[in-house]
Amino acid sequence: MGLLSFVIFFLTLVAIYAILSIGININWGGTGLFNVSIHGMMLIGAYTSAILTTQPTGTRFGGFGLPFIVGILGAMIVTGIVSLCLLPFAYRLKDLNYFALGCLGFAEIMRLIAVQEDGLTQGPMGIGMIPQPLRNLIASRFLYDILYLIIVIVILIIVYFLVEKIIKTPWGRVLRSIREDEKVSRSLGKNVFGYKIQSIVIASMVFGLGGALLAHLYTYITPNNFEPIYTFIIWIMMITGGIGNNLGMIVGAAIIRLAWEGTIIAVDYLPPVLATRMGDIRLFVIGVVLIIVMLWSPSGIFPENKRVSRFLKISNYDINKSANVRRDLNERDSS
Amino acid sequence: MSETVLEAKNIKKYFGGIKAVDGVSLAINDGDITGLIGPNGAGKTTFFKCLTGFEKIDKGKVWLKGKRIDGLPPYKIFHKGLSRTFQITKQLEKMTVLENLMLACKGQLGETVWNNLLIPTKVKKQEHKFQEEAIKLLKLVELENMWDELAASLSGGQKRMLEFVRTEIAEPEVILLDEPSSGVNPGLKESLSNYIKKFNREDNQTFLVIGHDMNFIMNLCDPIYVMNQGKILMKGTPGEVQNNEDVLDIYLGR
Repeated sequence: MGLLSFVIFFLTLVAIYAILSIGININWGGTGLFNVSIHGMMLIGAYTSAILTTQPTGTRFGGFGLPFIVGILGAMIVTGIVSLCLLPFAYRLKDLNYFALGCLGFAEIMRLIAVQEDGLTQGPMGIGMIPQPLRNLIASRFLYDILYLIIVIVILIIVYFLVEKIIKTPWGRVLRSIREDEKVSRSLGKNVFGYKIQSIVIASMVFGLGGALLAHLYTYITPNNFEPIYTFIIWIMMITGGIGNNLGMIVGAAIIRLAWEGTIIAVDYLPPVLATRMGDIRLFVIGVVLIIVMLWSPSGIFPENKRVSRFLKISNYDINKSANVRRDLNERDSS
Repeated sequence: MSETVLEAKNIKKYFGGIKAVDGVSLAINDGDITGLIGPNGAGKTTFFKCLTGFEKIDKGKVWLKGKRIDGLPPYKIFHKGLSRTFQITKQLEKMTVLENLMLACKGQLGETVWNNLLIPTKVKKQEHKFQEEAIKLLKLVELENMWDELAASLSGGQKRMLEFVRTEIAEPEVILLDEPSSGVNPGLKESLSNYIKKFNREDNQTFLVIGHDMNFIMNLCDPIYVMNQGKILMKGTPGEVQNNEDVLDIYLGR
């Protein structure tokens, strides 16, 4: 039973991290935006949902006792709005360092606000007693964990298909052109900044959703749950899975999470000298996994599809059958 | 006398103390292939950037079909009908040749996020239409067999061709070509020249072509503007330009 519930907890985390990886894939894989504010957005989502769904308390803002669904939708909306703070950094021409620094700074500010603002977040104490959806239906802790896993997987499937539906389109094509060369997209009439805004807001909403799902899984959150390391873990998941491929995100999340949890199990079998350094060994293991995948397949486990739009005619498409050539090819002017 | 489609008046662009473009005026008539030549550093490309909004103009005005376009961002200028290529070919390397072209189509429904969720059938129909158009243009420059390959796999000359038809697919008023002949072998240069003439003759497409390559420009363009040190030196027919003493001076360094 112990191992099984560990497996279920593990799978739930994989599904949540897959959602988060799909989010960063919109920014980096889709648009070429070096967004490292994931942990900040997760924090905003988690705290928003926690404040909306917990019972009223006198010690901090809110406790509105609203249902789970309102909590996660609220988390997405608030994160989407707050993400507009990143726009000044995205305004410049492709300047990865500048945007990345702005993102990291923003996310850290969000975390420090969560530490400091007792009246909103209860500071380092964190917010506890976060209700879980449909918790009162099932008494058994073990069976309930399975139900929560199912809920998260359903949400993952919805996110996966929605993102696939909007990214494999002319819209996604404009995003990819921005990733490839901003100047070209501008010269071809695309409002690059406008598309960057859309990309950032949509990705941030996904991060907020992921953060909220984590909050309802842990039922107790503190600012320490949202440290910068999580941003980079999610980045590594994306790189492992295959930048630009959403299916790869799920596999990448599973592999990196496995390396992460694997070190927890390994503690029992290691000499004490090493066991106390588990945190370092964990990062080492993840690094090794990343290097192996990169050597084996530089574009990740599932490389991106070369075509963007799903509306194109591909199968059995015969170029010779397409409509008459507008200008006569044989008539060559050599004057 | 055909009407003026693109007019620039007294364009100035300074970089610190360097007068890159120093009061350039020019008028391009509808249906002409206008040339702009000059030695390296004459300010041709900077002038191009000023026209297309990639550089902010310090002083001067630009009209396209009688409407002011100076001060607009590049993407708006594109939608007004001014389409450009780059001196060094810029491709979207990790996109297919077809989608490189289709990106340039105007008025795509699917470029708005929610249209893809709400009216996918309309988007699909439009995509098929644009696909046909793109394939037609690819056939014209004999790239049709590469339509589903990544643009990165094209040769240098093929990239020039792709960039050229990419400006054409949006059906602009004026196409600005920045050194279309550089890095292209003589045979391909010849056919590029022919494509430009073909578009010009059959669609009455207006061009402004920058070039170093005297032969290429002389055979293609009329009239020709000569630029030197940020100023227009002269305007004339190929014959006049070739026989002008000043032009020979700056080109031969006498």
